[in-house]
Amino acid sequence: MLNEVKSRNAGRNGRIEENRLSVDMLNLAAQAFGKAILNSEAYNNFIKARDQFRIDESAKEAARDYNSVLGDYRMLAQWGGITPEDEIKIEEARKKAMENCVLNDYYTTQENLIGFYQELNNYLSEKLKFNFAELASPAGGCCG
Amino acid sequence: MIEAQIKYIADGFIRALQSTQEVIEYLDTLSKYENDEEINSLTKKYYSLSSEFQKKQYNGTLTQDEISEIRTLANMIQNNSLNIELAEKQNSIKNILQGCNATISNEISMDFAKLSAQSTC
Repeated sequence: MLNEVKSRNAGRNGRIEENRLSVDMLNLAAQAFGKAILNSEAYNNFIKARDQFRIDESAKEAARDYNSVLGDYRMLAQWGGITPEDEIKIEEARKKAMENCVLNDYYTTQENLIGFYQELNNYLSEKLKFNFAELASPAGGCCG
Repeated sequence: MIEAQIKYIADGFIRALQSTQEVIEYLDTLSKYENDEEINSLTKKYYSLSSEFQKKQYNGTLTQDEISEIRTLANMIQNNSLNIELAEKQNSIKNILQGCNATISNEISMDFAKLSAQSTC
């Protein structure tokens, strides 16, 4: 009887140990994956562009101007009141903002980084047979 | 294009995920779900009726009987044991995947899953 209990406990402890090992390995693998992203070209290009943007007053002003027009445009879009003139206005604001090289670089590298993340997610998801990002996103809705 | 070094590390991460009990069980249930004739026929019928009824709703010709029919079908899918099991297994892997995402996001100082999910908003 005692031997049976001992053997059952040993089996259970073995499984707990195995699970703990598997969680540790998973954490290390996730950490390594994060570190690999840190060393990627897309990530480093974005960080450089972002740091440059943070110290460039003219780029920040260009971003503020563009965001103000974009905010109005989004509000109109939400209420279904977009006119062809609004389309022209937002396009002109975008073109003007993109004339600022630092801001242009910041937005471009940001888009590239997101594209790179999506590519990585596709790679993971294809092999895992489920969408990693969709299931790994924190709860609270996609727009949260 | 993903660099070879990142692919190599991503493969290690994939293997670590695939070796967890929860992911093994989820994939097993998913495979059963995808190959289950009953659930396949129910979902096929549901989507076909749903598309047909949307047109009827638009034209204002949708009847109460038709609404009841699609509700019954939705309940049958929801209460299907394999569907319930799949939802449970999916919730289990969500906790693990969210933990992995927290680790990755902590390294890169931004939310990897949120940025890499193709937004449908």
